[in-house]
Amino acid sequence: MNRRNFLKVASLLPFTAPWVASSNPIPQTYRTNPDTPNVLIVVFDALSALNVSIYGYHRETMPNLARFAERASVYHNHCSGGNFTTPGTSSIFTGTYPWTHRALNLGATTTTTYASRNIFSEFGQNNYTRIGFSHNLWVTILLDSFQEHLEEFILPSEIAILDYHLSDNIFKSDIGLAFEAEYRFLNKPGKMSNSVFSSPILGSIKMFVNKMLEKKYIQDFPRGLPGFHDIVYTLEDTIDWIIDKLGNWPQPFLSYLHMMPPHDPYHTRKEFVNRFWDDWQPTGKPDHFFANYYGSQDELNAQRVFYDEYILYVDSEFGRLHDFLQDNAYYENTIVVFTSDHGEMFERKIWNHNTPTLYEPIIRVPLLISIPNETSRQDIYAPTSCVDLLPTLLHLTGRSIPEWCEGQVLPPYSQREARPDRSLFVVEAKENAKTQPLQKATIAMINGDYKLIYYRGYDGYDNVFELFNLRHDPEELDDIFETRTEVASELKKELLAKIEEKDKPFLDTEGA
Amino acid sequence: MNVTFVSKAKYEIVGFIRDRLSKDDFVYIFSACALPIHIWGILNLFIDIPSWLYYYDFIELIGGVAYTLVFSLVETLFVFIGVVTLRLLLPKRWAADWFVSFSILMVLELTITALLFQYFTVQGLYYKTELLLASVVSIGLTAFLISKFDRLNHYVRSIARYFTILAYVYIFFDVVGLLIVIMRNL
Repeated sequence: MNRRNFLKVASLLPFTAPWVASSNPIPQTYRTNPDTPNVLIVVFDALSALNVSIYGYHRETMPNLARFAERASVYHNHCSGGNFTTPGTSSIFTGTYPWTHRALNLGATTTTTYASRNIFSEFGQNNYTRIGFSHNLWVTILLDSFQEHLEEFILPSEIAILDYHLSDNIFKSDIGLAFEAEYRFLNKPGKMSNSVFSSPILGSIKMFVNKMLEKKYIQDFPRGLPGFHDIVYTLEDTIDWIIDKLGNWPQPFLSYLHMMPPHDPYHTRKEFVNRFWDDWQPTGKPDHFFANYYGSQDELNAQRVFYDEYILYVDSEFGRLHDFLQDNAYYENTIVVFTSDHGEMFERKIWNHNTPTLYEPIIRVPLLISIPNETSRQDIYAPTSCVDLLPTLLHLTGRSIPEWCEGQVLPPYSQREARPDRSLFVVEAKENAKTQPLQKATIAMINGDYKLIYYRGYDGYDNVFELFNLRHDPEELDDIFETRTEVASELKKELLAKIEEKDKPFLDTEGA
Repeated sequence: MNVTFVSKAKYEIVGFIRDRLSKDDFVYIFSACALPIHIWGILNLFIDIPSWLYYYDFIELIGGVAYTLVFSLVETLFVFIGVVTLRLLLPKRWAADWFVSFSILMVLELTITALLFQYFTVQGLYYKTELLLASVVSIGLTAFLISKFDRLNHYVRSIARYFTILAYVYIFFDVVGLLIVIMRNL
């Protein structure tokens, strides 16, 4: 190389610096001390464990999750805290059951006590950078209430292709209330909204814009783009954004990332369309009093196929994140949690999770935890609850577990054996006032092999108990409440005592 | 020179507007826009508040009402600007005597159309084109009747006069709502 050429090449060197820097996604300075591992919680909304292949579902819905499972503890009997986003997610955040944190209703937040008793407040020491994001505005409302404990509170609009909401664009400081009012003013699904002109005009504009967007994306998403609550997004963009952010968040970090799929509408990507049109039929079950689906069981089975194909999309994108974490050695210094806030249902003429029932498809959610340098899979069959996640993460990061936490450290991380007689609870009370005792609610109690479900305060279905032996009857077909009277009476007594205990503070309020 | 030009332009614009709409006309039109929007919004608030009571405390409840009032105010202003713009676009002499009465009835008809549109959408009924056609025909018919029957024109104006007081009430509460929303977002 002559001098002239050498100078030419040398003059280009400064321009290569940014490229070199960007090709290394994790700056060395951010490498963390293994004593303070990062915590990455990945939540996919409405993902039922019963539709996940690693839990024995006959359709191969999550092959990439199986790869992640090879280095994780896999919980086979893990329950959510409730049957929809608000109570389920709040239980993950606070390590308490819905009857304690009281985020019972759609769009509600926890009591003010838990605004400073949650996963973010507990990780407030040791310079953890705390990050919260969700596509789901109900979760965004919850994150908003914990904002003082978050270094980064990311709004859905940052990652969305389209976000029609004013609340997360204009009223960023008051997103919870603004969203609730806006939701009723413009977007009440299935009902006439509070506005006269804005709703139909904006609705028509939205329809037009969505059609244009769908035209653009029809090749990739033949069933429509993923979206909910007037927010349109793709998981590809979200995962790309996470990958990009992972390199920039100062470590150690606690990052809670809550993605909407596979929540309905089930708009999967083209390569997953028609993957599960097989002859398989789920176990037939009788219609329930709370049936909410008026089509045939075949149509409900078709919804299940759409859902399963949407899970394939979730899995494919999670697989991409898993590969990135693996290739960039994040598993050496990061606790990675994979879970969901609640499940989804396609039986008994009940569709999705908008129901007062608490059957297994709705409350059984996946939980996988990978701790730094974990290299083998461990299968845990003991019943566990989402309230256990917070104490487990605190334990794994060397923190003390606060007294108010209702969960316990999960096996195999706990030094103590799990109590075999431990009862777990799932609470659904979306029509019950936050500050009142549980008057209209469904509560499930799981103890060993048994699951007791109690319906209280529903017109035509009040004071009804159902009891199932999950070991012998995992499909919950044989209600043994009337036949196994001894077990039934014992469990009923325990459940009613627990409800009385949890109602007490609110009875006092009522009395006052 | 520029200042003179600007004041002259301002004077001409104000004159242009005043030639078409008096101060009272503005009040009548604003009332006509505010009335249905606020009545509908407040009626729905009465439906919403019981469910808000499940999980909002008193302060939050007031905040929720404030947002609804602010959204109603914004909607009212958009419709009001639309009607005023329509008047400004029309020739000065055309409909000069009966535009206000016509606009009051037009807003009411559009309100009914918008609510039926919402209702049909919720019910999954597809009469939207028919509805829009019916609305256009009824507005045309209203214009015809108002222009031909002077008594109808006066009758509508005199009724509208009674409702203007409500517009001031709405404005008062909307402004309070706006202040609450601003305070919550500071």
